[in-house]
Amino acid sequence: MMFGALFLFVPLAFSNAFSGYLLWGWAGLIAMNSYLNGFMVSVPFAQLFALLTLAALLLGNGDRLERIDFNRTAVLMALFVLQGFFVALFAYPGLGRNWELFSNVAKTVLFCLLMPMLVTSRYRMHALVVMVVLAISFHGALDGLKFIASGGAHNARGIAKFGDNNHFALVLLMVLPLIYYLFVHSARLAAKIGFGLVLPLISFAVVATASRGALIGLVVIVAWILLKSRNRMIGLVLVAISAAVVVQLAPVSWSERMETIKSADQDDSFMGRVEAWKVSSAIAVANPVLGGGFRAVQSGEVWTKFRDQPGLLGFLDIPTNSVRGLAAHSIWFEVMGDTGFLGFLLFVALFVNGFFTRRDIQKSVRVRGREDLQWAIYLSDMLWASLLAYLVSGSLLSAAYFELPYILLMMLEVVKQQVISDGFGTKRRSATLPVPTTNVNV
Amino acid sequence: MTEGFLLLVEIVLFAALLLAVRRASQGPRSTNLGIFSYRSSEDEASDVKVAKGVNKRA
Repeated sequence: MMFGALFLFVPLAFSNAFSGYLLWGWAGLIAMNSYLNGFMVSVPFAQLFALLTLAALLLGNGDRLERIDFNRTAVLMALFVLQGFFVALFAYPGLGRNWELFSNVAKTVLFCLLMPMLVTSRYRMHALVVMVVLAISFHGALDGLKFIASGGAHNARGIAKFGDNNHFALVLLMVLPLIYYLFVHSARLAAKIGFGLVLPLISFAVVATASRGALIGLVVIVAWILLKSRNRMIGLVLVAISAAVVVQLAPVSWSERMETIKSADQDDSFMGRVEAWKVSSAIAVANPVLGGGFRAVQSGEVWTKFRDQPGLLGFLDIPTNSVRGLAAHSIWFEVMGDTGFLGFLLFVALFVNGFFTRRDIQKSVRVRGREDLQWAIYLSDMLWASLLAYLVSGSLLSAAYFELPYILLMMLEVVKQQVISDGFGTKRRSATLPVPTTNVNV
Repeated sequence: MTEGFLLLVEIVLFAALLLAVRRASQGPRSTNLGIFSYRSSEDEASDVKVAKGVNKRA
């Protein structure tokens, strides 16, 4: 099936750079190889479509390779990847995934840097959102259906690319606001029904992962969407119905596991995370500029070296019981230990910048009185909801180098650039309307 | 079985998106993305006016 589809996809990618770009993103997010057999398992789809996109850009098929737009987000991402190169270069010896993780970050940033060049109109932005939703919701829809078919007994584990059930839940959570955006803004009834059906399926899949962090993230997303919704009462009723369905369908083991959120300080799994945070921060204190290297905290040698050092969490009276390296279990401590305080600051700056980018979009649309750009406000709210879910649930997971948050951050930036330059608009900007000065880029 | 069916649906939908993008690239202001078309800016602007009561009759 996929082999047959390649006969359509490859010529499309080569003849139109933006189609190639969508294929590149889709192939990376869907991790098609996990579902294929035989020789197709080893086909590097993402690399193939990345090369076809770059070739199409160089040849001017659809779009031309122009100067990269170094906006604020792009500068921060470029600095993060540049610092990451030196981190990987000067890492502690024997880190199994050091260069692999750096390479993943570099490829993600390349994808993001090309986005302002290729996503130059509203239909392209909409297509990009659809691509992300199609790629991620595919995994969730499957588990959502299994959850219903098994009467709530199904345990969703996800695929190897995402990691364990907690990582899988995080990815699904992040796509929920985007599905909601498409549900609201789709013009065709069939698409509305489709996205409307996928929304509960993905929510069921999140429940099926039995991830406690995801439950917290889900609450944050729902609260944010309700806060930004025009029809809060209808939203509240829908949330109440969904919660009742989940409680009815979910097995007792799920409720028992969620109950343990209240007693995290007595939970071995949680205390193991605190140990890993302590060691990660100790690595950063010893290597503030370049950290210990990608996934340094998981190396037995590095762990042994730092396990008795207090780091930044010396005030916590917790002995380090583990004798082998553990996963960082927090995007913040993961970046801190891996890339030092410099990398940590750049990582934090990326999300702070994302927050201000969303604010700039909303301010710009409102100051200009552009009611035809309401969708841009809505999209920026939903993108920020996804990022909020990542920041909250990711605080307990090693997911700092997953590509989706970087893609969403750059999507926010592209929406901002286009709103300012009126690239998305259908009307010409009136000369009498003031142009906000806060939106000037670096 | 379910997995194979969903994979087929995924590929068909994504192919539909790519073909729609290819078609839309000939008219950059087009909102027609086939099944994935979005509501036009004018529709949304009028929704906002309705919500604000601009179109209400006295």
